[in-house]
Amino acid sequence: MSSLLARTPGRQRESGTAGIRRLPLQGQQLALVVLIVLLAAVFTSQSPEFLSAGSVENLLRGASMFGIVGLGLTIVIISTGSIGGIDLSVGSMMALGGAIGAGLLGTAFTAANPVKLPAALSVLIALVVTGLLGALSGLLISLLKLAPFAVTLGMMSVARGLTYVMIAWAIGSSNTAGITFSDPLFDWFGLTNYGPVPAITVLFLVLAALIAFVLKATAFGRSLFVLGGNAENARLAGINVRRTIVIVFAISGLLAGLGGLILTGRLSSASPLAATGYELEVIMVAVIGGTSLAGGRGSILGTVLAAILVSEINTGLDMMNVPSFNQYLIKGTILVLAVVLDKVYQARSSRKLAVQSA
Amino acid sequence: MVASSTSQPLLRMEGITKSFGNVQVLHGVDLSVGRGEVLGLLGENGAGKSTLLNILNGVIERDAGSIHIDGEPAEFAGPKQAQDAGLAFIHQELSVLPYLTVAENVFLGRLPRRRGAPWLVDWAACYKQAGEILERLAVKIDPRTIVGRLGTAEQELVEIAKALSMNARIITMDEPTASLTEAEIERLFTLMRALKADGVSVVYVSHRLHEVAEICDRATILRDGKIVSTVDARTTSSHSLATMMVGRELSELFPKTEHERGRETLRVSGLSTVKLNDVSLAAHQGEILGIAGLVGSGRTELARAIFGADSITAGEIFVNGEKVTVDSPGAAIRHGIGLVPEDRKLQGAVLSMSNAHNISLARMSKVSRFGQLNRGGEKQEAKRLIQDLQVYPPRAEQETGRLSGGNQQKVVLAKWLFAGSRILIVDEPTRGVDVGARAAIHGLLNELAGEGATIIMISSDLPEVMGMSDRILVMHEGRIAGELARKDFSEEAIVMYASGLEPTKEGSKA
Repeated sequence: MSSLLARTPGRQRESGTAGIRRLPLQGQQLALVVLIVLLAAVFTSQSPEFLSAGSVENLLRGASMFGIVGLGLTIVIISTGSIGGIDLSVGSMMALGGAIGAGLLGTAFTAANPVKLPAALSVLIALVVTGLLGALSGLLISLLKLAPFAVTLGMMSVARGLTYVMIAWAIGSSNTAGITFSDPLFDWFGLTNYGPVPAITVLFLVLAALIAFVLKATAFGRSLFVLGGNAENARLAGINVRRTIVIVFAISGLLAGLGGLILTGRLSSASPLAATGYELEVIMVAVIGGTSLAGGRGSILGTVLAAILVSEINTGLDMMNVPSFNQYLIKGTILVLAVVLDKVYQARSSRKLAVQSA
Repeated sequence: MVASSTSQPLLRMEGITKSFGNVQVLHGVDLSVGRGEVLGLLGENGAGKSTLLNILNGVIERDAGSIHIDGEPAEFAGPKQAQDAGLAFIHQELSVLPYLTVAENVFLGRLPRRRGAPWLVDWAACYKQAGEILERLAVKIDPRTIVGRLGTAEQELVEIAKALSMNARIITMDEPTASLTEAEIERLFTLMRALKADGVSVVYVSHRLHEVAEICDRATILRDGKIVSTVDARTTSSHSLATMMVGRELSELFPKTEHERGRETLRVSGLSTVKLNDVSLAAHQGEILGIAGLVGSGRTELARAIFGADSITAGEIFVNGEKVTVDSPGAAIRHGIGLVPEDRKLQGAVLSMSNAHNISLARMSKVSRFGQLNRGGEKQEAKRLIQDLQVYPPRAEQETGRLSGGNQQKVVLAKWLFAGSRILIVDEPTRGVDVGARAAIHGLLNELAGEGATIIMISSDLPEVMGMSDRILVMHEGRIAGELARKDFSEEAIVMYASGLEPTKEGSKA
């Protein structure tokens, strides 16, 4: 045996098989694709309009909006699932992002418009503020070891309150009307298509690819999985647990802010009640996509597919004129079923490990 | 054998045998306790005490053997049946519920009900009856007190009161004094004498040999799952108890290779944490420094403090003569310190990840540029270490959770070799590892020391720590109780230091 200690990192060539023997889809992702196709068939049979260009575009816009926010939640759950990591504030953060972005423009109709900033700057400020609020959640969770659900539930209320404050300031009145406005950058978020594909869908896919790369191929991404599996293990491997938790919640806040800007662009208005209850859809996107609530497991491809599925359900149920309270019932049931499946998977894989190590 | 104080023992266990998998833990153990007797049960970690007590109290089933209580054969399907038969088990970790009152704890699950309205708790009766039991124990605690406000010793008294409320006749106490002060211990002993007078028997487990002499009538010594001897506890010296506990010859399993001891690499001075009290030590290049002591003596806490995993309240750490700040494991890793923790499955390796990912885990920067991992290089490097350390199966992509314990441990060692650690703290490195892998791990540690690494080895296994170490520090209650040079190694000396006693002359030469 050669010396164990005196080692320099190897500079060998790769064996060149990476990615070849891997199937493009794992079981759960394949199931999502099948579900998407099946549901499309069901919805089309009920309402042929479902496959029209307008409906598909609408579906993609919804998928992209929920998907972008879902990407943030996916990494929050992957990396902090072992401590009950969740971000319940995403819906309110979306509303706040939209309110800041629209409120700073100074182009709201019949309103006070106290400042007038270029659109790019307003958008940037919206992202910075939501990112910082997310970081604040992360800081409270990691520093004071508070339960993530409680901290982000509080943040959900704080962000909603800030949304009211922001809008009241922008329109110069404390009534709860929203900001209605028009702006080219927001039109890009809400209206622009590249061929048949909405611009934000391209944005979503680029972001998904970027995050998938970070998770797969960077030291930071690797550390997220370790942290989500077991925080003590991560700490003993020298990973800065606090900093990592702050970063993932900041990303979640920022992506929620971006999702809110997209929503605002689609509606050409920012309302204090915007995105109410959207955390349900976003959590569905992460969980149905195969991200384990226990942490340490999840895939971006799954999140992308789940975003399409969730938006498909929304679009389809709307087209079938299913009343919104029935939709809540259906979506809540689906979410709980997805959590049950995750639990079954966890039990199976831990049994498998136990057998092997016995 | 010393005759028990009464003709008919209250408890008689005969030929108790138990195996876990292929490992036989108890080999036909006989034990008897007289009415109103305190029997000391002694043995090293792993001697089989816990298994025996768990069988007695119906927690686990025996493979063979019989238990008689008051001459009647006793079969327990579970702890509940054992309780009904008059047995009570007071664990080292107390099981009182801190937010409930004393009376609620005493009658937990059996709260007195109102006559005529059995769905309502009769609180008056509850407090009255609890008060009576406490009075019988001569304990001045208000039964309405919230248990969490009591000290550890008083909480223990509550456990005993609970046992008595269930009419326990045989109480097992597993290291009841582990977290008590001298005064509290005295109080407990006074109570135990009162129990004796009442005809209650006690099986008393302790590593503190002088306590055994003080409170026990007889002592039964268990070693490697067999009874070595039962002696009169009051007349047997601590030294001969220690000798009987250890008893065996130093095994030749550990071929120690001698290395030149180099310069000092690690110095710890005045290190204190919640669990450590003013610990100082120095370790050198090429040295294997053994840390012995009982479970709970602060060995693991010392390892974690040096590695930056627990925060320290006082003390300094020097690496290669330079004072360093180790406030996190990350900082320790940067200073070349590695920790192979006791709990391999939860702290050592990430079982769901591949061997390659586990190996690079503590220093991913070594195979990355601008944060991007060079996964080819990572795999290549992992493969080399897997070959060098003879991990089986020798595959970089294998999930670490699917390896055997010994191979998982090799992967954890490989992680620190990859990270370039020169000071390696190994905590129970061969626990739960088969004989072959054990030898391989010992060989590796020797080899690393030969290459100039510093190894600090914590082990409860005396033959292992004596066979491998150049020097041994023995810990007792968060302090270094003694230091032994290789020529002075003896199991008796270690056990004496570990029990908080000074080794006698003949002890260290035995």
